[in-house]
Amino acid sequence: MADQCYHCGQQIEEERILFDEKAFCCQGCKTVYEILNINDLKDFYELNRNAGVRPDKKNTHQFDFLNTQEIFDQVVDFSDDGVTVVTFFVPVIHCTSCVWLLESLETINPAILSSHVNFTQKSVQINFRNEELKLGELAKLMTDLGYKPSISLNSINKKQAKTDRSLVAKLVVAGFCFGNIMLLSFPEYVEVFGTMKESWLEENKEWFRWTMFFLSLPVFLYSATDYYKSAYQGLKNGIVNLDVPIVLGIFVIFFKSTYDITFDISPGYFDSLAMLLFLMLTGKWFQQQTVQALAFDRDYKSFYPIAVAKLVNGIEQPILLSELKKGDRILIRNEELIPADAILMKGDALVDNSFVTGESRLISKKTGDKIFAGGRLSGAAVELEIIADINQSYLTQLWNNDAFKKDNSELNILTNYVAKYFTYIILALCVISSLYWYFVNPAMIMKVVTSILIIACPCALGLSSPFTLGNIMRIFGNKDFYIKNTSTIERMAEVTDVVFDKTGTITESESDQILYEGEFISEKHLKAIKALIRNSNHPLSRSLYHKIDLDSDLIVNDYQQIPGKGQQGFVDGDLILVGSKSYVGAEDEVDFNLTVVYVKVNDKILGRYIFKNKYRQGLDEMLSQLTNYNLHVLSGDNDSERTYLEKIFPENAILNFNQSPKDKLDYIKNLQNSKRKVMMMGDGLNDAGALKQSDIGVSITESMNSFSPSCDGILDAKEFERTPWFLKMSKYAIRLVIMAFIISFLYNVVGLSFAVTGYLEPVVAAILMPLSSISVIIFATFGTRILAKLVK
Amino acid sequence: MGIIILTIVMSLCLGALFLGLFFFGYKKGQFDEDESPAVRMLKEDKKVKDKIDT
Repeated sequence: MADQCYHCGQQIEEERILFDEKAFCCQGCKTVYEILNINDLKDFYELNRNAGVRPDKKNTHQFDFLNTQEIFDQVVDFSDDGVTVVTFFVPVIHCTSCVWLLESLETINPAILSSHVNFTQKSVQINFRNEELKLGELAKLMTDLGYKPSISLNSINKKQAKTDRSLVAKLVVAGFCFGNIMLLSFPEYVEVFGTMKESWLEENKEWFRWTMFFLSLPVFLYSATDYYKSAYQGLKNGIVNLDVPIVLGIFVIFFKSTYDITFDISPGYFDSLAMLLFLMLTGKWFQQQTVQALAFDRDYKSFYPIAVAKLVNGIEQPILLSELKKGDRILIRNEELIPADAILMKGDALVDNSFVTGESRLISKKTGDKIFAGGRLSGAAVELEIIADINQSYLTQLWNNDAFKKDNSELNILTNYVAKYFTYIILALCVISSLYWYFVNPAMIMKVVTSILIIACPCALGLSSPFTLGNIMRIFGNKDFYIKNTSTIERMAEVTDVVFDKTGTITESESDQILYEGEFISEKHLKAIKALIRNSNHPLSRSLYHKIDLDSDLIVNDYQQIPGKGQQGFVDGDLILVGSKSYVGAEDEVDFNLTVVYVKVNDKILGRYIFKNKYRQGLDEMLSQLTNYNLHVLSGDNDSERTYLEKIFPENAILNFNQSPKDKLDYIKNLQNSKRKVMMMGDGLNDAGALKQSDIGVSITESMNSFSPSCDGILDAKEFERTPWFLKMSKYAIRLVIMAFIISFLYNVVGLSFAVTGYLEPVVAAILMPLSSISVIIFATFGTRILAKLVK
Repeated sequence: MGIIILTIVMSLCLGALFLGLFFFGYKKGQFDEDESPAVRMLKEDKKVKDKIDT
C-alpha cells in the first residue's frame, strides 16, 4: 500500500485517488499527472522521484486581474505584434524536474512559444502569443501544474540591475597577462641559475623584456582601474584606505620596471605586477559572490499584491495598486491584504494584523471603523473606502524612517583600519632609509626607495579579509545561514546585545504543530468547524483556524463560548462542539503535558487535535549558551507568556510586550545610544524597522521561499539553535583575519630587509610576493575549515 | 632558436583568440547561470523523438 503520492511524494492523508495504477494525494496532483501523460512528458518522473509540487487549491480566478491592460503592461517584459515576453518568479522551483517541466510548457499549450528557466533566481521567462492565451490563463496553467507564480508589487519595479561584468573582465585579462608574462620571464632565470650564459637568450633578452612590457599594459591600464578610482576617491575625502598604498606600489613597479628595461639595469618586475593584480581581483571577485537566489533587501512591496478590486458604480474592476487613490472604494476578500488605511464601509470584518504588529489575535471591526494597511482580512468580503494613499499609511511610514536610509555595508572595516597605519609606516621607512643611504651612498637612494614601495605593496594584506571571511560566509551558507556580505561577520564579532522577537522567531510557526487523531472529517464538517472557531479569539482557535485549509463562509447560529472550556454553535443544521475533553465528554487517555482540543458533531466525538509545544526545540539550551550577551525580547503580543519566558531566559534578560513596529525600532536605537552593538532576530514585517536599525538584523524563516524583511542575514528556522555557534565563529574568524595579517607582515619584514639593504632583485620580488599572497590564501582557506570543525 | 620568437607570437595570438571567445560568451550571458544548462541538455528534441518513434 503506497502511502506516498506518486506526484509530490507527500503522505496521503485525507483523500486517496487512484489513477493509472498510481496513488495520488489530491485531485491537483492527479491532474498534473494526467496533463504530463497526455503530452508525453512522463520523463518528468524519470528525472526525480516524486518531484512534483502539490498545486494550490485556492480559487480559480485569482489571476484574472492580469488580463486588465494596465496591469498587463506593467507585469510583462515586452509585448509586440501579438507576442509577449513575461518573467515570473516561481519560488517553488527546486529541482531539475521543475526546470524540465517549465521548459516543456510549449508542449502543453501551443500558444506558448518558448520558456527559459533561471534556476538560481527561481524565475522563468516565457514567450507566448497573447492573442491565443491570456496572461491570466498562463498564470493559471502554471498554478495548476503546481508552479504558482508569485506576483507582488515588487514584480513591477524591474530595474534589472546589470551585474557588474567588468570585474570578471578585468580579472580574466589580468590572469591571461600574468600567465604569459611569467612564462616570458623564463629566460632571465636561465641566466641566474647557470654559470654559462645561453648566448641566444642573452642577445635577445630585449625582445622578451619588451614583450612583457606590452603584456603588462592591459593590466596597468585596464585591470587596475578600479583601484585607481577607489584610491582617488579616498584621498579626495581625506581617507587613506588600503587602495592608496596598492596604487602607489603599482605605479612604482610599472615605471621602475620600464626604466630598468630601457637602460638594461634589470629585467623589470612585470611578472609581480600582473600576479599582484590577478590575485587581488580574485579576492574582490570572491568577496562579491553572494547568494543570488535570496533577496536581502525586501520591503513591503514584496508583500503587497499588484492589483486590487476597485468598485466603480458597484462593478469590480481590477486596478494597479499604484492607481489607488484616497476616496476609492475597494472590495477585499478573505485572506487578502488591506493595501492602505481605510474605513470599513460594508460588512463586519475580522482583521489579522499578525504580520504587521505581531499581535496574534483577530481584531474585529464594525462598519465605520478605521482599518490599517498591512492587515489581512479574515472572513466574508468587505467594502472599504481608502482614506490615505498607500505611501502615507502607517505601515509604509515605517520605511521612511531614517533607519532605512543608512547603509551598513562598508566592506573590510578591519582592513582599512590597518591600511591607514601601514601607509604611514612605509612612508616613514622610505624617509629613514633615504636619510641613511644619503650618508652612505646617495646613488642607492632611488633603488632603495622604489624597492621599498614595490615590496611593501600590501596585496597579501588585501587578500586576508576577503578570503577568510568569504570562506566563513560559505561555511555559514552550508549551515543554512545566509549573510549579505563579509562585513556582516565583522559586525557580528562585536555584538553585545541580542534581541529576539517572540512570535515566529522563538516560537514555531503555527499550523505545523497541530496533529489530528480520529475519524475522517468530511469537507462539509471541516468548513463548519472553521466557521465556528472563527468567532473565537483564543490562540488555539486561531492556530486551528489557519490549519484548516479551506474557505468557509458558513453562518453560525446560537454561538456560545465558555472560557477555559470550549465553544459551540449550529452550522447548517449540525451542532458543532469544539473544546476540552470534559467539555465534549470524551473519555480517552491523554498526556497531561499536551494541549488537546476535541471536536464533536451532533453528539458524536469525531476526534482530537493535539497541539505540540510551540517554543522552538532547544531554545532553553541555546539561551544558556549565550551568557556573554545581554538578552532582550520584543514582542507585539500581550504578556500572557511572561512567566514561561522568565523561566527560560536568564535573570538579567529584559522582556517587553505589546511593542508596535515603531516601539521596536526605538528600543534598538536606545540600546545603541548606550554604545551597545545589537543583533536582532525577527521574522515578520513588524520587525522590519528594528532589523534595519540594528547593527545586525537576522531574519528567521521557515521556508526560504517565503517573505523575509530587509536584513543582513537569513537564518533557516531549523538552524536557530546554532546561533551561539555562529556568533562564536564570527569572533574566531576575526582572529583568523588578524593572524593572516601577521603572516603577510612577516613576509613584508623579510622583503623590506632586502629592500632597505639594496638587495631587492626582481627575482626576490618575484618569489616573495606570490609566496606571501598564496600563503595567506591557503591559510585562510584551511584555517577556516579547521576552525569550523573545531569550534563547538 | 630564433624560431621561438615566431612560436611565442603565434601562441599569444591563439591565446588572445580564446580570450576573445571567452568575452564573447561572457557578454552574451552564457556564464550567468550554471545550473539550468545541465538540465536543458536532457530534453530530447521533438524532431529527434518523432524520428525515433516512427
